[in-house]
Amino acid sequence: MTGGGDMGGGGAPACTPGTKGTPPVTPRLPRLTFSQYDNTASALVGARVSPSLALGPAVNGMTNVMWTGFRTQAATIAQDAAALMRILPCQPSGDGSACAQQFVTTIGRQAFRRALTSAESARYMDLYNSRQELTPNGTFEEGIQLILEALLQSPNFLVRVERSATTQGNVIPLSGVERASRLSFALWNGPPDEALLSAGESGKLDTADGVRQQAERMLTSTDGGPKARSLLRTASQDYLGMVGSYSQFWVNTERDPNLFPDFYQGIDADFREEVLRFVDHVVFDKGGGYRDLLTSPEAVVNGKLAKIYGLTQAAADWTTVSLDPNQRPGLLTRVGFVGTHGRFSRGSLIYRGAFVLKRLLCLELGSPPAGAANTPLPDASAMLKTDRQRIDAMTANEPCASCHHARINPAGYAMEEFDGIGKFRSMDNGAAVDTTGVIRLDGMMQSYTGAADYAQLLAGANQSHVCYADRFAQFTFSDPSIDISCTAPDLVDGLGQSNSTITGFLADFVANDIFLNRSTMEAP
Amino acid sequence: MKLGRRRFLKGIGGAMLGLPIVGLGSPARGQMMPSAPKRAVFFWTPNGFNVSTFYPRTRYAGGASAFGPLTADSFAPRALDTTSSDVFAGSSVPKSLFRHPEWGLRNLGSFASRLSILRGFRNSRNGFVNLADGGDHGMETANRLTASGIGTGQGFALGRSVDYAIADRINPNIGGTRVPLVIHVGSNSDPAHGNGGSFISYSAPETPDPGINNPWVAFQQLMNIMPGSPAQSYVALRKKRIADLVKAELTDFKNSITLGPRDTSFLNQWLGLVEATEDTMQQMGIMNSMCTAATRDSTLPTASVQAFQTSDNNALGDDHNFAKLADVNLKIAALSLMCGYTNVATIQFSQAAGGPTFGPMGLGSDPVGSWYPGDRHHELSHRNGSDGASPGFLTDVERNMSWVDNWYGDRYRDLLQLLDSFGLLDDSLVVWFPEFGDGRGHHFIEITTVIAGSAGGYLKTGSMVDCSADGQWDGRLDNETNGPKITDNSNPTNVYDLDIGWIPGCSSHNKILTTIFNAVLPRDTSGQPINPLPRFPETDSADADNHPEAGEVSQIRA
Repeated sequence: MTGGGDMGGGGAPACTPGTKGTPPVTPRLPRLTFSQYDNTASALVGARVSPSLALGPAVNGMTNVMWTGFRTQAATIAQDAAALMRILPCQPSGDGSACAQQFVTTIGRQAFRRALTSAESARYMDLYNSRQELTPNGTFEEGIQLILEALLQSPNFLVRVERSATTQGNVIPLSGVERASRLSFALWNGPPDEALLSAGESGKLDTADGVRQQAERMLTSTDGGPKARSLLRTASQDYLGMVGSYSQFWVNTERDPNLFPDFYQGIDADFREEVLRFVDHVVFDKGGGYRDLLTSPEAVVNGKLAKIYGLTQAAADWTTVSLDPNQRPGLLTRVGFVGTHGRFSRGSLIYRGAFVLKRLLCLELGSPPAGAANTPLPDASAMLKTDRQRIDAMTANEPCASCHHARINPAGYAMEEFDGIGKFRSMDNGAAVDTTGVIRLDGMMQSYTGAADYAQLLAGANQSHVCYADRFAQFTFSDPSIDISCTAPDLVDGLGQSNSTITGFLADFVANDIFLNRSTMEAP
Repeated sequence: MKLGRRRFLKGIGGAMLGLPIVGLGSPARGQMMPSAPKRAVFFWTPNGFNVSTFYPRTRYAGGASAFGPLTADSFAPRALDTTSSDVFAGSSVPKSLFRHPEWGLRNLGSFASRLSILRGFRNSRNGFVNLADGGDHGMETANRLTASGIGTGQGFALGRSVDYAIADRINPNIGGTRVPLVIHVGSNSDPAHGNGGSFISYSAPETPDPGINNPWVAFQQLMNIMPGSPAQSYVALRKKRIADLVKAELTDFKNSITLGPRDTSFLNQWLGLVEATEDTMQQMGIMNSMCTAATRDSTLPTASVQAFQTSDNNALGDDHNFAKLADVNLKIAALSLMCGYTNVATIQFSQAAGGPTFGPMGLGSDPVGSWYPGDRHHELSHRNGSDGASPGFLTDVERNMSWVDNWYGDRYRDLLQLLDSFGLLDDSLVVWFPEFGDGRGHHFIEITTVIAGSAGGYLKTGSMVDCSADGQWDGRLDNETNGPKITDNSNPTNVYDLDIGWIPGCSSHNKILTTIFNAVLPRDTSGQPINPLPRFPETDSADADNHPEAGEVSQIRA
């Protein structure tokens, strides 16, 4: 519910757009996103490759730069002889065409995420049969390379085609193999494995229960779990704004080394990693829910960040620790968050408050009025000792105050106990830090005393759940305009249940009607 | 010239397959291009200049057109003045505040006679804005190359940018489109998440092009068209056969699936690219006999680009890579122009309200004065630094800003030198646009433009032009501060101090774009541009605050 911050007091809002169960309008030919392309190419050749680095800007559609990249990378990957040997399903005999045909059938099915028709298969065999004129020596291996090079730039490989067209009720149910693809890209950000593809082919994904069964395997199995973790990592980067224009707040962290001796060049990479590992740990190791993301005392730290937490543990590598739940509850008190959201010589309650409003509550704040950036920060004085006092004084006049004092600053006060690098402090310039404030949530003004009860308030707010669910749907369908608060209210409500888990949310999401079906409309 | 490259290629293309490409160029050249191609390069830097020091010194030459000649003298070195007690009239501000050895164009003296420096224009889009995203930064950035209004929502431009418009007229056709080479130095924003401040180039209204930010990607494009080792006969045929297969599958989609507008346009875009023949690409490389692997290797060793092959967006946005990326990207742009891969290149440094910290580039190495190597360009441009220093000025911050201008000025000079060494500069226009005139107050006036080259004599170069009615800057340059103030239309209680170096802008900057557009068009037999535009942008956008004007900047026309 992007931009809709003023919903009624916790009750069900009047729902527009859409009625329950209506799928979003999505293209029939969605091109793989860059990370999906990497994962899909990797799965096909059985080794980690990152060909998307050569695709140029991630714009919609197909540009010349992008198409050149796809072609160049197809040739490069296909030249890797080791990969070919790894995935070859047979040993050639005679002119090798029987084995080549088997290669087209099995590897082609993986690439297309469905069985090839005989006409499609024949096109690839034609290439193989022309290997004498199309390769230097015309060997069997060169013929297989040729097939692979073509498969890697095939539209059926690069596009997640949805052909289903039969309307049932108000929706178009997707076919089994189409559901297998949707499921795998939603939960793994990559292609279906054999079990999932077979389930799709044999009708096991025709029911929501069947889908749920596969989803549970995909999220928890030895093979599936790591892929689901990787998906959630990518989705969390999106949710937290580590990609896109917001990402400027997560990168190039510079701090005054005189004020922050724990600062080091490159700390921003560790900061981001800490936050992503925290999410991963809470969701997958602890089976946590949305509430736990904001309240869990768990942290995953390396040696350098442990110092900022005031921990004495010496291990250099990433390790999990439990912190004081009152002092360090959840995401908003992780050094990776408070440490990035600061300025050269101090933490920034404005950046932190704006993060809560923009990223966790999906509110649009607008940008500062002209000249705002020229407003000087008053020097510390007897009257203005703490950062909070100075910043509030800076933003006290219009046109700043109406946004800053009513909304942004109070959303950041709770984290004032953390300095510019995320270290805990109870005093600021000789005065006690004030972490009390009031925030408007679900249409009601709620007061808090510090980080711990602030986190509880946010964790319980319907607005937060709507935002999380919408962001995930937008990420899944690659469409920032999607709003599922009315079409899948059960998903939103699920996030607020006391025993809910994020993995449960993911399984609910893919078993939901909005996910298993297509809209009857075509993308305009 | 309707024969066109494609028809030409059809004639001899087949026979050429399998032959080394070098050596085919000269005889056919006249046939393909009636006159030397013109080129347009846009060089964009964020946050505005220190307009008090940026310009060379010149003297008002008299007359109505307010311009003065640029000579080597104009670029004479300036000494650091830390002692003078001389103050600006009517103020206590010492003039020494603005006397630095570093200044934007200090190293452009050798190009004095080939530059046009324009000063005192206003944005075509007036006013301060408070959009959902981007604000003034977004408004000016989206407006700079589009001269179009600004949309609501993400604050994108409502029109196509001039680089795309020019490419549509003068670039090679690849797959049914003629697009500029757009390069971005820094980390890219995804258009789905970005705002008006993220992009300068627009392929269509509200459709920004983020640009290629990994130089390895742009380099691959270049490699595709450069003659290298003699092509083996199977290579082209193999590419064609695979392209045929891709085309067959796309045609399956077209024939068997009911597609909406979005899918249809995607499919057609792709089909166009698949149908573009390989030899269209191969042939571009023979347009200039200097386009050889040897030139490429001596200009830009492959290893220096390959270093970025596995760099992700964060690495490409790392301040420590900024200088290297600038260097490599400018060389790729120059080579791409020289080889005819494109006739239009746009190089965007960072983004609005962005810019790196310049510590990694050496800011702060001079022991005199105060330096802020850890402060970002944007915060420096507001003169109060990353921490919002009180009372709004960091000590010696003016000199820091001059230093940054100088850093970009040297990159611009490097580009000019390279293009000149390829023999391209005089037939080109290399245009440096800042985000703002002066970033401190988010002005929509005092837009500065530096243009190098004459596009084959279309421009009269070697002068500085002041668009303002009383353009006698010699009495003002270097000795003006605390200029007029301006009132925010949307909220008259806000009065902004326009501060240093303000000149009332009298002409919309779109006239500069119109001039550039027409200058690089193909010419008829009498040397006149074919189908020039009376005004860029060609269409008006739904934004009452956008006021483009008709006509060119007559003062710089030859």
